[in-house]
Amino acid sequence: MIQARSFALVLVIAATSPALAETMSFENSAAILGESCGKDIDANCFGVSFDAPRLKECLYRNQDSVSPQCKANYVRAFDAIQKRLVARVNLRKNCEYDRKHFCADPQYGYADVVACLAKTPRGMTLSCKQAIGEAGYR
Amino acid sequence: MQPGKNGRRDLALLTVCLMLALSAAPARAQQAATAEDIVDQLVVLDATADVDVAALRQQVLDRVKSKANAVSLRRPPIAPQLLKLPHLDLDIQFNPDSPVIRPDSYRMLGRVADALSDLKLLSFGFLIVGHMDSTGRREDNLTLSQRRAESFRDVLVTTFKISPKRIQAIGLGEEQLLDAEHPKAAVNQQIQIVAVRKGP
Repeated sequence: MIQARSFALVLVIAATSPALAETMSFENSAAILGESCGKDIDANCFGVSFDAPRLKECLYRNQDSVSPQCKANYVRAFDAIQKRLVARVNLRKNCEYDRKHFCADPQYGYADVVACLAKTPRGMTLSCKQAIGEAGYR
Repeated sequence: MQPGKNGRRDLALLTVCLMLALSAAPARAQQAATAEDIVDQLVVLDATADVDVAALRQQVLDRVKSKANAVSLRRPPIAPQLLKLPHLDLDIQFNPDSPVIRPDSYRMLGRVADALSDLKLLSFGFLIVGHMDSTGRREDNLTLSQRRAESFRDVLVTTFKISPKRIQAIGLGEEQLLDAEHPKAAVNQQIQIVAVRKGP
């Protein structure tokens, strides 16, 4: 049910604009963080570098004093980075069938396989299609 | 799915949409206006270059210690071979006298991470080069540039999971001035990304 609904949502979005089925780019995630929390980082976490777990922990620890704008956005920004990273890690597993059936050229390296899968070969599994989108490789 | 989750997702998507729309207009005016620009500029490396980072680090240290080329005006670059490779200069803001990158530059860090994880560049290796202007002590500038280059690399590796095998870092202090006619100009404080390796 949950999967069916998420899939339906993906379909609707994909129908309107293919780019929207993807997760957020690192650039946009990082920009949201820098723009929403820049002042808060200077005030509360000066000297903490953009090291995701450390910076997140610092903002969380100081959440009583960080701005509402930062509070509303920082978790979302870190989650978006994480989501894309996880999708990339899981790509191999989610696309194993597709690799064997559609992109099995023995000369292919990892990037070639992903580039081949990103062309959405006919008969491709939905899980792989979604994984490619979430990894930002469409 | 919980109620409201769709809404949040839609809002996030809308935000991305708006940001894309806003950033699309002036794109390509600057050197590294988009991740694609970065990819395009680095992907042109013909073949793996012979860059011995450890040796270069020693060479820079020796020059600074020996006080050779003492005058900073028109000081010859210590590693001219790097300038022949595909590279990109980035204006990254750091906290004063610190290797910590300022939040104003997070967007650029994310952009670089997008570029380095682009499929076209996945088999490439890079050198992150730190540069300083000639204000302050030469030794201190060398140390700070090294720490800043490493800090830039560390964010790419820890936050964006770019393989550490693909990126090395080196500081060249004020030994490779980007504007040797104006050694104290702020334009000399840059982080450079140089494409050095192609293929596994």
